[in-house]
Amino acid sequence: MTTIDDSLSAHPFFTDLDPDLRRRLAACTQPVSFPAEAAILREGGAADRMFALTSGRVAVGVQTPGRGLQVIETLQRGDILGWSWLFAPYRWTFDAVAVKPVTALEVRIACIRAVLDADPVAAASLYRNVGGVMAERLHSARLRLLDIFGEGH
Amino acid sequence: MTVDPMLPVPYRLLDRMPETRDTVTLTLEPVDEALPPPQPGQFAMLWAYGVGEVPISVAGLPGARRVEHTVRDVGRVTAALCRYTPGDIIGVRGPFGHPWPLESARGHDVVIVAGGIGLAPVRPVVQAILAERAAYGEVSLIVGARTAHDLLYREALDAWWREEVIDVRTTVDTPCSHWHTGSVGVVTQELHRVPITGAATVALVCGPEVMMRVVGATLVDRGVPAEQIAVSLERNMECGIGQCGHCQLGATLICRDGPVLPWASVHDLLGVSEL
Amino acid sequence: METSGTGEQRVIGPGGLDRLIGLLQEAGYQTFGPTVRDEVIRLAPITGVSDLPRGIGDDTAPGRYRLTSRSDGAYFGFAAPADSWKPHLFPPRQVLFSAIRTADGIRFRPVSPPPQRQAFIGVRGCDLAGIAILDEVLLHGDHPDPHYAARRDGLFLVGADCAHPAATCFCASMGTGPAVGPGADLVLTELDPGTPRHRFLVTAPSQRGAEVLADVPHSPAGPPDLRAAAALRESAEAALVRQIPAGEWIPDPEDPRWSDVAQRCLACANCTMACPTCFCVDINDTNDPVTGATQRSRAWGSCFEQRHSSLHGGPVRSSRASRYRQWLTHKLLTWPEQFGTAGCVGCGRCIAWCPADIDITEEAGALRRSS
Repeated sequence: MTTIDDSLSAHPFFTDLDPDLRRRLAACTQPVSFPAEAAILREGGAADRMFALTSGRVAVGVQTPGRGLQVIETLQRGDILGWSWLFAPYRWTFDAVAVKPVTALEVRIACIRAVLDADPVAAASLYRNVGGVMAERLHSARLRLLDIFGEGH
Repeated sequence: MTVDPMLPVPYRLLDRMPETRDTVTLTLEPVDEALPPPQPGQFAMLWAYGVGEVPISVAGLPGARRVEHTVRDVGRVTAALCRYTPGDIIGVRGPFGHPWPLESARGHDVVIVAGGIGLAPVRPVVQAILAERAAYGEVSLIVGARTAHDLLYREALDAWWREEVIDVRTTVDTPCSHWHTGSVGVVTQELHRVPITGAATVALVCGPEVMMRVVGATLVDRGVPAEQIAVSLERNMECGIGQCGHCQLGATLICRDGPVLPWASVHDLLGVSEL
Repeated sequence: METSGTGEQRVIGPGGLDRLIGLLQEAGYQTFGPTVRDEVIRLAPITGVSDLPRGIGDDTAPGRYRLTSRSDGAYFGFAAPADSWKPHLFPPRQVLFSAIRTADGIRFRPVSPPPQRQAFIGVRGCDLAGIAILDEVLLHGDHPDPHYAARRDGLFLVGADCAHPAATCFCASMGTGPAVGPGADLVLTELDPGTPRHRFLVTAPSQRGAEVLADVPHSPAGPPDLRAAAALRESAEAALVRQIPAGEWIPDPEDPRWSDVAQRCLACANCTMACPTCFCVDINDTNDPVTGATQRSRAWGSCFEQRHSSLHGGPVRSSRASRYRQWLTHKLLTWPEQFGTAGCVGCGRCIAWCPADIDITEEAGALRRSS
């Protein structure tokens, strides 16, 4: 039987973390699933969880009057959903909806905050990995700002 | 009689298929004399009577002396070509340039990354691979576009995706209010989701230079040898035969030494600004 | 070009040179040579030695070209003509074809080649090498240019060793002079001008050259003639003041020298027009509004123009620094990779004709030192 710890270590975000830290994170983690079209996060909601996607497809977007959900990012297995828990005001900035049925590992932030507050070294390694995710998303967003497939190119 | 390499050969437009709001695929057949059939990755100089010539990659080889070129309306000549109707005569010179390394891709996994109009030059590669599927290992096709409406060959892409003979992933830059069979994001994000076998992989990359720089670097990071990554470059071309001097990138004449070139040879050049 | 000449050397007088030019005309060649025109020495049709710039020399420096008066009445007492032979083989404007729409398609009318063979009289070593380089670019690739081929076909070349290099010359650095190298039909070395023994040593490297020479009044060359010619070659080489060092080097694309020269460079393209080897062209379609006929032509272009590198509506090489870098790097470094020959022949025209006094040898030297 696969333990939560095994599942976490198989996910690219957690693979290189200290095994001890990962075990303590596993204690704050549970497997979850969402059917197609289920809302996973809502803009403005309390940012109290982080999801490590293990299957399916998630659309991250903004509800716009007259245009429905404008999808700005699509996440799949191996991606991380949600990092607004790191910074005040600790609220989601986007909606996230399951496009296809989703399974994920849901990390409860209240539970791990105690772990991280007690261990700054562990905290630093986790925050570095979150930073990596944010850097990749920012790079992608900047490339898309260039509109390289647009009319001038 | 000396062959005049600057004299176009007349071809008749057989079919005009609009792909997107600014792109059409033209099917041409020779009026009389036929040029040698192009190989995937090569290009022809297409001449619009009274307007001018542009280099356009071969986008398909339907057989029977026919050739397909997908043209995007970005200037005077391409605008004219996009307005032609079946029966019109287009001048053709070519084929020119180095083709995609299909031969050395045999027996390897193949990763194809195409963006925007860059999907056109790789379409004949995909068709060639599908025609001889067993000769290649795992094959992935990652296609990026501005929006879902800007994807070329949508029917073919859907068919390839459904048939699952190759792994097809599409991704668009612009937020959209419906999700299709693809993602919202950039091609490198899709690339991270594809298992890549390093030295057993041959990669073909075609799209805006910004995209190719990022994808090339990512492929190298994933262990694909730089000599096994092929990119298709573009520069101002006026003759196609290495005699007008316009298409130089360092020592490379894109029309003659390219447009397909190994990443190992060109990634340094692409990093020099205004080269 | 045949190379099975006699190898024997003869001596002819100025009258003999006049006869040689006449013989070539009688054989159906259009003869061109240096003349004085518009206060420069420039190439034009000639009928005899009286058309040559007798007693005229040249004085050049960066951004400077002046004619001088010589007391010795030498026919070839200058370095090189202000213009190169390039326009006679590769005209500044060339129609490629014309075409007209017909009921069932398009009718193409190729351009007919020029009617007469050409003979070039007094070709310097640098310019002879320039012709060989253009041969490589335009004839020896996969797509020989029929327009160049037509003008090049049957070209008769009479070279002339250079005895008086100019201050802007650096032919020896590029291995092209001052003496004429291989490829000519006849080679002249002017000896003892201003004396009663004013004469030309002539060699005939080609069979064709030997045949024409046989009909020119001549005497055999003797050891004093050969010694005089050798001495001239030595003194000419010693007179060169500029050079480009041999050996490979890779300039830094971010070298501040590029910006430095860009502040002086006007991107006027004089250098590329004066250069014997620059071959970049722009292709254009023009239409007759009355007949609906169209014509495709090419015209000399230049990498100094922004439009030269235009892509997706904007130039790749927008800054002058990037364009100067393109020109120098191509001319001296990437051309050999592309065509297997040097790109520069050391004629120095780009130095003399630069309105900003930019000197390719100085720029190359500075870039090399910091590379």
